[in-house]
Amino acid sequence: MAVSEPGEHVPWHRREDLKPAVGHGFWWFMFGNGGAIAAILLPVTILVVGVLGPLGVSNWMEDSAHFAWTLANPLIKLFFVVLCGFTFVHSAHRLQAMLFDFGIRDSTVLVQRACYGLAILATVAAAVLLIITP
Amino acid sequence: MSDAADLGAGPARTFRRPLGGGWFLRQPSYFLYMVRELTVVFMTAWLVWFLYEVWLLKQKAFVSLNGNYAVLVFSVVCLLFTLYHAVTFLNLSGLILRIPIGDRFAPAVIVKGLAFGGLLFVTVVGGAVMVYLGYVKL
Repeated sequence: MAVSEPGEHVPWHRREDLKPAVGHGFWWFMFGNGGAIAAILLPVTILVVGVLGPLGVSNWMEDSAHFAWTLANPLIKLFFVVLCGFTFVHSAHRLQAMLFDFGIRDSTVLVQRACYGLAILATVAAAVLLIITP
Repeated sequence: MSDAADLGAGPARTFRRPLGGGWFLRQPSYFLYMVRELTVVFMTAWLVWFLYEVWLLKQKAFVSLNGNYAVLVFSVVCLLFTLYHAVTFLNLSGLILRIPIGDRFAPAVIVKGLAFGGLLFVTVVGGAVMVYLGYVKL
């Protein structure tokens, strides 16, 4: 155990008197990684599928047969389940913070549960939809 | 009882200045902060639209996106907000990601460089793979 002299700085990762807040850590993990995953993976997905596709660049959403063939790949399914799940939870965190900033401060716990609950439901729905399609 | 004794008798009374609904319009930085928070609405909206297209495919009612300018405009708006999210979020990575190296931490500029490098790499390579998937013959 790290023992420090009075006034000596001990980095947090060496302090054994600090107990991990597991629940808080889980949601913070989901928020942080959701933000990073959305920041890195979502722009290129929107660019190729939503912008270049309608402009005529060949795209796997150009017809239903091609779309179905692409979605049959388990890696593509996994990619979208991860992208949707992490982004939804990240969005839930920011949404509840935004509602607080807009002045909804009387029922913080209820708003948090509603936002995170919706995110979990949407993730499950997205996973089921992607698994059963095509 | 004196006034001085009254002051110490109960819990401290604090004054909270009411912010009002339009507090974020007072300064540009407040406004940009709220825009950053709002980006998740557009990111989520785009993913929900994509899942709707998957549902249409399942219902055998999917229509090609080629020449669909409504989707194009919607996606461009969502892309702008997503890029704003990406830049503001990855800009903070140097402060948030504290990678311990001995008793010190990895320099923030390195962490930030890795984050933006990852964005660039995934955009170029991931974009190439996605476009390639569009040219794959069935």
